[in-house]
Amino acid sequence: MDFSWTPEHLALRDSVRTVLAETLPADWDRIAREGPGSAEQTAFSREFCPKLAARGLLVPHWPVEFGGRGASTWEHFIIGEELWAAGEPRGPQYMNVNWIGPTLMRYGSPAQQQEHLPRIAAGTVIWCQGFSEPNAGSDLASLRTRAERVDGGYLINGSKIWTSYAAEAEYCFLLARTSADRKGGIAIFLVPMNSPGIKVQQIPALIGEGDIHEVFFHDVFVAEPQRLGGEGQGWDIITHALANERIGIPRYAFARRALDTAIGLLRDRGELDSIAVKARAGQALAAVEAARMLVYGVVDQRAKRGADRGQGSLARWAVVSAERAVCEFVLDFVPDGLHEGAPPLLLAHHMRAIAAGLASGAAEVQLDLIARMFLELPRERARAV
Amino acid sequence: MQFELTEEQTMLLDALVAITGEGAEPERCVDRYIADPALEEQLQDAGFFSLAQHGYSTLEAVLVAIGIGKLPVCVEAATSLLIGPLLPETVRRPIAIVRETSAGETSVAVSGRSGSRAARLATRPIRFLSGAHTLVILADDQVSLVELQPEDVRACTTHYAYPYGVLVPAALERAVVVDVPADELLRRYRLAIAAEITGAADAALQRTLRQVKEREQFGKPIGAFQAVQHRLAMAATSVEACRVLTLRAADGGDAADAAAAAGYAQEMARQLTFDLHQFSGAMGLTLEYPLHLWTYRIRALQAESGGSQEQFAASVDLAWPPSKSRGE
Repeated sequence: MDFSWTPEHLALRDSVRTVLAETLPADWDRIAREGPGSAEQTAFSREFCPKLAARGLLVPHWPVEFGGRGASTWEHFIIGEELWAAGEPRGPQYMNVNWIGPTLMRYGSPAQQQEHLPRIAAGTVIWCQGFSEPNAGSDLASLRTRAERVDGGYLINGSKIWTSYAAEAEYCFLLARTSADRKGGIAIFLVPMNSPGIKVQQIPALIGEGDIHEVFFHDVFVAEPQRLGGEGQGWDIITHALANERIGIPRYAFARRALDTAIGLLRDRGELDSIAVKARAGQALAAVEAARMLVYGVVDQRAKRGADRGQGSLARWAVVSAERAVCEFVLDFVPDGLHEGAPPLLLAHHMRAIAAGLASGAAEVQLDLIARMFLELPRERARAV
Repeated sequence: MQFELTEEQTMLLDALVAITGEGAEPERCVDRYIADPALEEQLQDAGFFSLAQHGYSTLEAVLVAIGIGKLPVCVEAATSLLIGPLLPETVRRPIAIVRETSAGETSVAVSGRSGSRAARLATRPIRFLSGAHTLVILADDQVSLVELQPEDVRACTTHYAYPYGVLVPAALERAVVVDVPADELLRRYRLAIAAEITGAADAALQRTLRQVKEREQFGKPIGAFQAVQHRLAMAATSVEACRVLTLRAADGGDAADAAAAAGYAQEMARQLTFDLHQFSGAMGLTLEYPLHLWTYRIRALQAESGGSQEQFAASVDLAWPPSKSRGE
């Protein structure tokens, strides 16, 4: 047990911070306010990611044959943590490098790999994920979007909802049903978003611009070579692809920056002297650090190829709790943080924090998983599997 | 960043379990706490209270303090393990500690009467004072010790699961100031609190899990109900967070981390103890069911050294030092 960083890890952090210092514009906090999916931040990502790529910091964890250098799990994580803390200048492209690329490496055909991986590694392409549907949220396997076999491919009909980044994306990593078999009837398609029959509608929301959309598919033709894996293989692929994503985004790192900002503001105003304020600030700090350390534990486990017995879900719940603690601290003690004129980071954090328990699946599902995997409690009732 | 125990740490904890046994249910738990002088002597002889002298790190001391905190028996270990190394070698354990702040508060959470030092320190029950050989008095910038004689302490009955005693005022006249940095002692005191809560909370959670898996109502184990599962899942998250915050604080030596760990532990104690008793049903209110042996230690530790508010506020001053932040 040793909680210190190696000199190599410290140097890597420094190099990411150097890139950020050299690259981010003076009004970056304003640009980043809406979050990774906004038009402005997405556009910025198309400049920023190629610079990261040029310095070997975009896909270093990928194997050499796909443009990486086989960097370790920790190196990959440290880069992601620093970039998320900075407001995620990779925009939606964090998703490409974290799991879409690696999934294509594992399950994609050589043609698919050749088509997509170089563009992801160059930092010039935007993807969205077509998972949730109006009647398939946490219960993803109940999705209904159909992929019907036609000559040379499939016709896709249905709709997706809560789709992040859809308005800016060039490709959709789409789950659709080829048969009624609940999990065995799902396939994955790599669909160009400019295909005829796709309509994208942004959903006005309390969270950032570009975060959620509805995507409608009406007789969208997808050629057979655009299917990833076999027809019945979709569920297995997605389970594998997302297994390492349970802890998801290092959200606590941005929460910590929001807390730093709030503390600085309160101190400048002379409003940090009362023990009541400091106690709540300290509570938020402890929640953030708790989340950080539980996530680090999962990263360490992943680096050692250890089995997840629910630790990922514990970490996810701790992250949600940390987001909430910081969010509520700001609402209670820096109420003007959501007004015009406040540091943009405070509203930016607020908009991310209120989605923390829902983005990538309702956090209550994680509590179910903790009960089952970590505490080994019995199931409430037999569930349809 | 390595979360696995080293081989040496595993051996250390295995040696501890070889002495303490592994979570056996106490035969008799109707007393408010269980003392086990024979076990304490074994631990002492094996060197578990003086790990620092044997070259073990603070992290290892915390690992052992957590391990001893899990026991149903009540052993003064965390203070000896964490604070002991700062004190002169002649100091004998068990060690009791009381914090005396400039505001007149002591770690024993009784409403803040100011007044003479004797009135402040010698009227309030102090954890482990009954049976202790040494009392550590931690003031803001000074540490003093009282070598205790039997006549210095008046035993005190309590609902908490620790031996408590009240100091006889005359004993304070023998208090000796020692050359120990108060801030470092406070950091270690916070580690001791966090470690002891972590151990007791873990054991209390495990005992409750056993209960909810065995006890059936409405035709199924009560642990199968989602309403129960979710709160236990949150409890487990808190306990694991508490453990890792405490271990990280021990390893890194950062004072803000230690304050955050102690604050987190003391804060989580409120919800945790309530929930664990709740899920144990009326059985959890009895003394024949062992849960109280841990929860009434945790409940006592909730207020130690000023409680979570004090640790959290301190963590803010330490993490964002006033002079540095201003004008940044």
